[in-house]
Amino acid sequence: MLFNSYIFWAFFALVLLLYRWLPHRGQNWMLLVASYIFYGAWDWRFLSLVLFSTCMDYLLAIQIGKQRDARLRKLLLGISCCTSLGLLGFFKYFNFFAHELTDLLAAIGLEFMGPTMDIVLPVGISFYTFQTMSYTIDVYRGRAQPVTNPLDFALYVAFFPQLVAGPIERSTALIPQITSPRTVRASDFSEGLWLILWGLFKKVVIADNMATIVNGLFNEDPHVLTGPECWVAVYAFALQIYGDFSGYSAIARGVARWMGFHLTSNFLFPYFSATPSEFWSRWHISLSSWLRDYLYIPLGGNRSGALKTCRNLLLTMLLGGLWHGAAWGFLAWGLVHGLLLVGYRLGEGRLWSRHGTPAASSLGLWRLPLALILFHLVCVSWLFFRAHGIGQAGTMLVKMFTDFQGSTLALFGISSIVFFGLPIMLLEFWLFLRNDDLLPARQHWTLRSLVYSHFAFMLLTFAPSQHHEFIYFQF
Amino acid sequence: MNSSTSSFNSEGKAVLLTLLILSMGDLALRWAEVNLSIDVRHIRSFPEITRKLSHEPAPRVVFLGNSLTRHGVDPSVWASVMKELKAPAGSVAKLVPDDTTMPDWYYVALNSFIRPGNRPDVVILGFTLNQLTDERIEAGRLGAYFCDLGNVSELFAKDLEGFAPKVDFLMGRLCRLYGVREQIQARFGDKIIPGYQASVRHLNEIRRRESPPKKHQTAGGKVHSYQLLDRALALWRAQGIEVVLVAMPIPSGYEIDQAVVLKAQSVGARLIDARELPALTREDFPDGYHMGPKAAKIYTRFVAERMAETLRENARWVGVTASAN
Repeated sequence: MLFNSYIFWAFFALVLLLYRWLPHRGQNWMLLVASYIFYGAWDWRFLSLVLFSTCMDYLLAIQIGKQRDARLRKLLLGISCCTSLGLLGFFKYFNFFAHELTDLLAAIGLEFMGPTMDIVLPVGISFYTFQTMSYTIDVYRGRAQPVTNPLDFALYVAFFPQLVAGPIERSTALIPQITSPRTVRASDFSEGLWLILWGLFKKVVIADNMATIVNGLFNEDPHVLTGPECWVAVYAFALQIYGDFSGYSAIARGVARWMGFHLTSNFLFPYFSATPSEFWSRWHISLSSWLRDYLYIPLGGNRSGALKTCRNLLLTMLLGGLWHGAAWGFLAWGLVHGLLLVGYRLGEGRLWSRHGTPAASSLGLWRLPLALILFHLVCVSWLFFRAHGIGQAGTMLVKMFTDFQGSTLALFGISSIVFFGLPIMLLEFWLFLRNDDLLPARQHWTLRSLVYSHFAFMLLTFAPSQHHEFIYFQF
Repeated sequence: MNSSTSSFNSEGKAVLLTLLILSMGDLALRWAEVNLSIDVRHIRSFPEITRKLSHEPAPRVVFLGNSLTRHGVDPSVWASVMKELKAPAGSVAKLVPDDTTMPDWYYVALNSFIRPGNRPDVVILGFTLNQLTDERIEAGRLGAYFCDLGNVSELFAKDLEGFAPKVDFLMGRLCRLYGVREQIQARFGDKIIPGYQASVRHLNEIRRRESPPKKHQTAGGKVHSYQLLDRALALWRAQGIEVVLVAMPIPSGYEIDQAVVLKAQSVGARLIDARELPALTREDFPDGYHMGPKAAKIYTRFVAERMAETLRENARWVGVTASAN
């Protein structure tokens, strides 16, 4: 059940109707059942995994909360983390490591047939696993109280707008919204509508149209492509993945908002960032803040000298890359971002301040060239993320800087990127300058209707005939 | 009035104005498309074409197909060949909407001549490649142009599987902007994006090359579904219509699926193989796909020669011809 499918909106209309009708506890029960139906629509067998994670972390967190013995608390947390990561590891990484081990042993002359299985990746496993892990860790650290009502906790794990592709919600943010009665204000309706239309536009009009170009170019033999075609492939993918994932997150927020929930904003105009650390405070915010709080800071963060800070940055980004999947391309992507963070950190204090996200107006005239440079560096990292292997990425990278032969396909690609991407980027630049992604929802109703009309017109007429799944479902 | 109510009211106004703007756009498209598109004008004239044909002398022949048939059939050549071979010339009409395949042709025939009772005597259905399969059902376009609400029960029961295609159909029926979005995209792309057609073809070609065979196909991609062809052949034969399938020529060439041959045989429909006409060269296809005027003459003559005997020997039309002559 995809957000860009009719069946989802029929489902959601029914959910909303029941939601308006029911008292608070009834709403929570209904949302839990709806969430399980939503998840089961992909593959009902994997519901057992969600239920298992829910039961295990519910019980372990209560025990962690009760225990006074520090060693026992640590043991319980260890069981929770190992089980969650074990599940993730099995479903996501088993085949990769078995295959790589076989290859490695073959390279040194040992014949070994590693056990491989036809493992189907349960949709959203990386998201809800990280969400439940953050809960037990927060309970262990005393930052969150264990949830006593199993229904509330089950809904926290399975809440359907964010179950399969985030945002990865912290228990401190979402559980209070589950346990207390919610009110839907008029502004929730208008902001929800804006978020849903904005998200659908980014997914259906931008990402899906870019997908046609991206899939075509990345499926072509890279030796046949010209340099400008490789650039087009990378630019189009940068736009596709942004439209796809930020579109999903916006729809999730909008859908939740119509039920009175306020989800974390997962994207804040990342392509206008001037530095990698700013980029990571604007891109997939719920994952990057998770990695910061539960990995980077426990590793030592920036508290133990420059060398260890660089090590921690590299490790965090490598694991962030691995979170996306078991492939060398994701690791390379993480490495590139780790190196960017390290490299820029060495330049800190000269061109920009050391701490915090620079405001849009900060850095003055420097922002534009810095943002352009960073955007291109991020694009290079996307090449590793999207390519079918390191070899293809390498060939395309070389072509990008050595082959300048124009082609009809490259001209078509650039024109398509400008046609689909430029209007939304201009709109987002305005929102970026105002630092408010909900600003359009507060404009005069005539202006709002003009924006909505544009979105609706483009959704009706420029939706490609081929529907594409959300990219992040595979993670 | 509190701020909450006023905010709801203002959102309501914004939504209503949005719907009004979209409705105006849709109405404008419906009004303008007849002037902007020859194809739409042609589709709108189907009832008139078949009504007129039903009053013309028999045998009444309908050429059904897409732009290949539109470019490839020359009615004046047809008439002269019939005269030459002393066969009844009868009357000819073409129902040839652009970029259509079997699902469209089935409903075009059903709504243009079966249901109104303007049935022709002969239907000559021109196809290439796998255009007779059920594989390309564009529900939105069917809703916009080729079907009406009277087809809903048959469409929903037999052709549109799942929830999404059914909503696609209803959306296409309700909103023309949606129903003809592919045509709008193509026209818009042609105007503002350089190299649009060539690049889209190139990307589609890569996609076709790389995509694995569909579930219902064998590795060679040979197993296709022909439910709509089956239903069309059964319906037309039940109405007493003589059915002829013609495998048309295109420069790239193609195989005729053996299943089509067997289906034609089983209902007594004739299959004319016109894929490779010796007199045709690549230069006779100016855009690499459609026949030019010279090729159309050759192709029409080829089909007419093979049809002349059938028309001459069919007792139903002999008397008509004599009286018409």
